[in-house]
Amino acid sequence: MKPQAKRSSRNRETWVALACLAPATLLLAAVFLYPIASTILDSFSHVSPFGGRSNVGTLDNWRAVFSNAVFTHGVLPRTILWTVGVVSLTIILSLPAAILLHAPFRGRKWARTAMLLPWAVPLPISAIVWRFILDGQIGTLNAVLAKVGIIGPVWLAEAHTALPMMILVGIWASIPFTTVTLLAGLQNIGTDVNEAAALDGAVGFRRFRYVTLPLLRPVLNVAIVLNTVYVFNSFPIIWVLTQGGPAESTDTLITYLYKTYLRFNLPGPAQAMGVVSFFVLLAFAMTYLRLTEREQ
Amino acid sequence: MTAKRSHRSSSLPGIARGLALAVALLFMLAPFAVMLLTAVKPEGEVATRPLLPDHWAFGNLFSAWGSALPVYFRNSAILAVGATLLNLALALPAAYALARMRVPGAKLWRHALLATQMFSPIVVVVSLHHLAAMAGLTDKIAALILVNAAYSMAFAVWLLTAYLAAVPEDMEEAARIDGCSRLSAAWRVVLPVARPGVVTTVVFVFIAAWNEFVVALTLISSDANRPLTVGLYGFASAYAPQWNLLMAASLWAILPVVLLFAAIEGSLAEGLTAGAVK
Repeated sequence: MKPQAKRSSRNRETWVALACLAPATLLLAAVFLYPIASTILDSFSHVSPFGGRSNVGTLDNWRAVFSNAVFTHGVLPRTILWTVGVVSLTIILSLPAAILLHAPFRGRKWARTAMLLPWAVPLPISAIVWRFILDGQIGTLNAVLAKVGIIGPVWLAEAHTALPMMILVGIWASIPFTTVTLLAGLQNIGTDVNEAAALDGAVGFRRFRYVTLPLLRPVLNVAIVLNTVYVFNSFPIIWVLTQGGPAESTDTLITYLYKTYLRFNLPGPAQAMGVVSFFVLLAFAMTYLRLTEREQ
Repeated sequence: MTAKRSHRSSSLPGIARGLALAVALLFMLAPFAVMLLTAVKPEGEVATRPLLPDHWAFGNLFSAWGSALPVYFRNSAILAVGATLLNLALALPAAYALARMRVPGAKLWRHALLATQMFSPIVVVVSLHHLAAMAGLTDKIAALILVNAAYSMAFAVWLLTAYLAAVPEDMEEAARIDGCSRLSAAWRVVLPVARPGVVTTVVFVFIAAWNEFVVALTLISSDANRPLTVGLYGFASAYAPQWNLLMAASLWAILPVVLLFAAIEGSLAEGLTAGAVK
């Protein structure tokens, strides 16, 4: 083939490739890029309930959001507590779960499927069941407690019992993905490394601490970053269990944003909260990209 | 041999392991047990019999259909099938290009894609609402199809690219030498070999769309267009929910995704960690 012809066939391939990518790119631009740009612009404008924009360049929304003590002293610290609480406890519980499921035993396949099952079930529906379990009058938890003579509280009626229960359900929902990710990591380590470590006398906890854990580190990092994002973004658990209530005592940034828009009818401030959330997520996305890049 | 023995003696005793596993499974499966047992209780026993019912009311499983459940079910099916088809139609060519062709800016595309995976529609829910209004798509299932297809794009393209890239290029070239066009070689040779990846993608996108909540809650205003998640949430938010019928409806609502999940459980674990774990 002449160099000329070769170049033109390469050119042609580039066009075909771009044509293949164009439809997906268009959809992503419409559903991601446009709304993000619009959210940022709205946060600096007066926004009508129907999306009309005026007074572009104003800081009123930002002032409203950050002069609101419910947001700065309640919602923001609670969002951190919720995210850190769920993620750290999920990791602490999933690591031993993954190790247990990694060891061979009869029925391991079934145990693994059962462990992953909650991932497949719609979260709002699981959350409905949890709301029933935690119901103060007819809930399963209090009925079981009553059998051993304990009168349980109305769990979801007050923040100091509702928040721990929300975190518990959050952990329940996060364990499947985390366990499966860690399990995949354990399986990648392979048996030869463990055998070599055992020959060197590294056993039990020492082997876990000095051989398994360092090798698992990259997967663990990924699990932590992805979980942080998922838990930060989480809406259904909180919304179904308490709707952020009573009052705003169990709201996180995400539910408070939703409430500010659809219940308080304040699209402008809601958009400012959207921008805050967006930059939080962007920071985590960068961290995630750096982690996966380092892996490759 | 010594290595093996020391390995065994160092591990936790079998009973402790078994116990830990049992507690873990009890916690993970408890909500499903409650759902199942409450669904088959007569109304009078919901509050008084926390575990097993005195009288089994299997009829609840059928009476649950007397509500708006069939409507919600149909809407969820349209939404999930629509999102899956749209996603696949856009993701397959994109993945093929990334796996097989020199794409200018391929790295940027991959990064942008990965970043969308970290994103949640709730962050831009106000803008999505306004956008849907502009496009005349408020209260339309079509809007949910578009958003769900987009939010599953990263996963689909990522997984499909991996599977398509694993198909030996020789196979495709052989087909082309035999006179196939590029398109028909891709369709007749590459796609069948990459089928496990396509199946996993289809199931994943379907499950994600079936389970979606916040976009549907925001964009759908009339009861007739609600998918199951929003519809059942409506039941649960009623002043005094009929918990036994609600649990029966929930059982039906989760059945399709549980069956799909069981069918591809093995490869799903692989897919979930695609990009994260190599």
